[in-house]
This record gives sequence, C-alpha cells and structure tokens, in this order.
Amino acid sequence: MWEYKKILQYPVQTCGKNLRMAKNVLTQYGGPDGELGASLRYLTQRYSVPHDEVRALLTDIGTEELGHLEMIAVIFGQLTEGATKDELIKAGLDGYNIEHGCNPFYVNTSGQTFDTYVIGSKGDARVDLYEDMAAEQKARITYENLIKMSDDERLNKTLIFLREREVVHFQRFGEALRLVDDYYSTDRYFYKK
Amino acid sequence: MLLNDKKRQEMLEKIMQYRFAVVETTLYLDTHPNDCEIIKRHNHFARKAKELMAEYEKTYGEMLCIYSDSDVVWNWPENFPFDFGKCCAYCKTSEV
Repeated sequence: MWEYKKILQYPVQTCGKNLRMAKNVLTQYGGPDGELGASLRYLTQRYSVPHDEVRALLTDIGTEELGHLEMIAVIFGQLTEGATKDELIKAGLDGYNIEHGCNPFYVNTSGQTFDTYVIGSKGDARVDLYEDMAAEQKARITYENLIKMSDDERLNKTLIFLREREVVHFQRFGEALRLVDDYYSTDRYFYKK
Repeated sequence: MLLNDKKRQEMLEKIMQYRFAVVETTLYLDTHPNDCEIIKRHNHFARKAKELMAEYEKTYGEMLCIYSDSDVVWNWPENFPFDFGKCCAYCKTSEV
C-alpha cells in the first residue's frame, strides 16, 4: 500500500505565470514519456519479477515517479496562476480550460490523452528492464527539450533536478539488468559432466 | 511553493534533503545490497529524516496522518503542498 506525505520531493519554484511552458510541461504529466506512464509501467511490471532486487527497484522507482507526477502538477499550477481568459485563448489553452479547468490532466503537449498502449510490460525481467532503460532515456531527452524551450531559470532548476533523476534511474535499471543477466548465465547444474 | 514562514520553509527543505538522501541510498542499495558503507550512511540519513519530521510535526501538524497524534482539532486537511486556489483567474471569476 501507499501512504501520502504532505511534502514535495524537491521544492518547486518558477518565475510565475507562463502559459506556453505550462502547456509544454504537461507532457511530463500525461505524455507518452511522462511521469504517469513511468510510474504505471514500473508498478505493474514488478509483480511477476522473480528477482528480489528488481522487485524492490521497480517498487521504489515507481513510487518516486508518483512524487514527480505531483511536482509536475505543482509546476503547472504555478505557471497558470492568475491566467486571464484572453491569455488562455492566446496560449491555445482555452479548449483545455473548458475540459479541465485549472487542473493538470493526463495529456501531451498537443492535448492527446494518455494511453497505456505507450507503456510495455511483458512479464520478462530482461525485456522489461530494456523497456525501462529506454523509457528513462526518453524522459531525460524530453526534460532537456523542455529546458531548451524555457527561459524561466527557476523552472529550469526544478526541471534539471527531474532530468537528473532519469539519469540515476537509467543507471539503476542497467545495474538490475546486469544482476538478472548474471543470474541466468550462472551454471546451476549440481554435478559436473 | 514557497511558504511565507521562512523558518518553516527552511525546516521543510532540510527534511526534503534528508528524505532525498534516503531515496537515493535506497535505490543504490537495491542493486548493491552488500555495500556496508552505504548501509551506514542510509541509516544515518533515515534517522535524521525521522527526527526532523517528528520535530516538524510537533509544530506544524501531521505530515503522515494515521501514525501521528492529533490534538482535539483535526488538522490533517491543512498544509498540503499544493494550492491551486488562485491558479487561474478566469476560473475564479463569476462573469461569463
């Protein structure tokens, strides 16, 4: 089970209203390589993993991703704070506002809703870990693209933290893959021919 | 979200730092379970985080509802780390 803590993983700061970037960061909320997909992917892959280390890692990283999802929500809230009708229309967020008001929703930058078809869980530890390493890379480059599009230094500081987490997760998944590979390459015969 | 209460914000950020160190050492230990040096560091960070959270809860109320003592007043609904109350001026205006 999970328990909620009333604390963000890392302080979210922005320089205030910025509807253009609000629309862009939504992809890390509900885009194909965003935090929702990451969390859902790892938390459902973990059930049939026969390796203790990998089961622990998928649970811990899947949980951390939920914390990142919350951070993206708070970023979105800060970037839309005080937006007027005209500003929403100018930023192309009027349709979004009609559907979701001030809340973040699980969509990408162009408004397409999240679909679990973008995540993979094949019930094989090695296959899934390759998927996870690819996912971390895709999330990392998405953060880098967001940072390049943003002129808000405070927002960038927060995005740089989140980007860094993708790098660390990639490393840990790589180590987990090595552990699984070692396990399957070990000779488990009880006698020598 | 930055709080107006400077002391409280500082305390919260200190807790974040220790909690983050706990997350980081946990992930590392998942794939390096025999690294005694990091287990020691993990234990240190975890103890510090627990201490600081207990101290914070004494002053500012529960961060984790069910295991904390609550006074007569039920203050769990206070101090969530997000507040979209002012998020979009358009949503909050009654004029259509």
